[in-house]
Amino acid sequence: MTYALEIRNLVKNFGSLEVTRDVSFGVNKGERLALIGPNGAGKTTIFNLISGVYPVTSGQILIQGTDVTDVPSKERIAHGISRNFQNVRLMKHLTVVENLILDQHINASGVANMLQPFGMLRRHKWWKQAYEALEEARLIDYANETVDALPYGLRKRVDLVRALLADPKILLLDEPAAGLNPTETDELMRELKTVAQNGVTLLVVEHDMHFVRNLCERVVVLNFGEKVSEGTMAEVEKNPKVQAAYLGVEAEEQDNAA
Amino acid sequence: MFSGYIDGLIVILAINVIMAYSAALPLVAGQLNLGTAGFMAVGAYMAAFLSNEYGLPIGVAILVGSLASGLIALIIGIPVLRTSGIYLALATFALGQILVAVFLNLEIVGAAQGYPVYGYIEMPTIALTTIGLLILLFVLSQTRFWLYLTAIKNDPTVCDLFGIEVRNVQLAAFVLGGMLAAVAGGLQAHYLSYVEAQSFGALISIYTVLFVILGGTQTVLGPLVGAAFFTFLPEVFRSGEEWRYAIFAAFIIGFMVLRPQGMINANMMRRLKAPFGGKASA
Repeated sequence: MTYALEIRNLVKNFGSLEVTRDVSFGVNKGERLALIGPNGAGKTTIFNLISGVYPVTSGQILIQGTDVTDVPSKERIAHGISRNFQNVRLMKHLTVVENLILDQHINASGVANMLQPFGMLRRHKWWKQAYEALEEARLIDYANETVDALPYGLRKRVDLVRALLADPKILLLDEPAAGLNPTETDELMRELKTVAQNGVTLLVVEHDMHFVRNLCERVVVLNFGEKVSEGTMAEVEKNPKVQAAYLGVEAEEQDNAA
Repeated sequence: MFSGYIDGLIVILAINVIMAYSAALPLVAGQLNLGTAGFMAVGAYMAAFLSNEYGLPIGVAILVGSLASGLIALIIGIPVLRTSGIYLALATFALGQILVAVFLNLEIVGAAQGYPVYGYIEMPTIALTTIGLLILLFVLSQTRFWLYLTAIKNDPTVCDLFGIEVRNVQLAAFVLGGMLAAVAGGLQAHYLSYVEAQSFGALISIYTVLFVILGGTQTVLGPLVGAAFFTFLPEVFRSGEEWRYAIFAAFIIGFMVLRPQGMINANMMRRLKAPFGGKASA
């Protein structure tokens, strides 16, 4: 069976520094997979390679069997890849709704679309679509706030609405739960499960193990740029390499807390 | 219609406003063009030459001059826009100087002696042209194109991931800016009945950028307000004569320190719009 997203023998070097070493894994359609590992394990680098922020040193990235390794970043979105950023990269000086309109670009490219004075046409479909998405996410009250006026938690929610607006097949989420309170985290978890049920493949980088355990069906563990384990959370937790690299620390902390 | 002084002031205002937008377009996307005076010179000489030698109607001559300037901006913009920040500023600055130097040596348009222009346009024509351009610019500010310019200034990497052709959008802004500067040049040439290369010095480019930065790039109105303010301000200080430029410079420095986002910013405009249904319904 073809994976929705597959990476094969991915290598990325920055000069002599090997950030990603021969990493391979696949994600099925509608699956929720987490990429975990300590800081500096290369998780965000893999995201950046998949979304095309940097070129790979060697290896392949396939989307539904199509090799996109050499596809320019701006065209990858057309292959259904959408992502958020660890440090929420919304356009600070634009309003929430303008940020969403920006992300509709994939369905509104071309010179004719670029030159439509939609700003004056308040009933234009682009406004409608953006307002509907905000309504659905219960963020409508913030539609006309500039992003830099919003608290962090709200920015994260807007960022997710934005990422979903491009109608992605594969959604890459870099630490979606970081900085959220427990209620917000639970809400996010429910929302992401619904997204996956609708056929969107989720690849998540996250440090919050409670979140990963409850959201993701499978995890891939990275350490120093290498894949050390892959499987269900219960499976990888038993792996001594994983315990040493990552979960061990967490388990100890939990023991101490208990 | 008005006294010669008022007429002249309105023309200066109109030229300054058009020039302000020629620098503003790339600047909204975060790109500093310090060579607008060069494009102004292209428009002035081209339009003057076409109306003098080929008897083209002045409007047509200015339009062709603008297209020629746009073409130059396109050809030069492709390599130049690969740079950014201070390098882009220097590259465009040099470009402006080169364009002016070419005219200074071009015998066919009088070289250093300057070039008399026979066609004449009056103040109202210039004012109306400027208003027309302002309407076009306002419409442009309501498009995705303008939204992309603002977004590219914010975060070009993310724009690229959204699928936006960052470089092409930047290039388009640079070319449109070059075309606008040429219109300003063509209008001025036919108002003053004379073109001389020395009048397109580096200071013109720098002042143009100042109008925009002081007016603000967050809204479409900023450059207009900045250009208007700095056209009238030296006039207010006219009684001080020699000191007026010193006062003017001190004012600019003070202003930049106190209000770096410019006179008009986006939040101000949103507050203004709010009573008229700025918060649009879904």
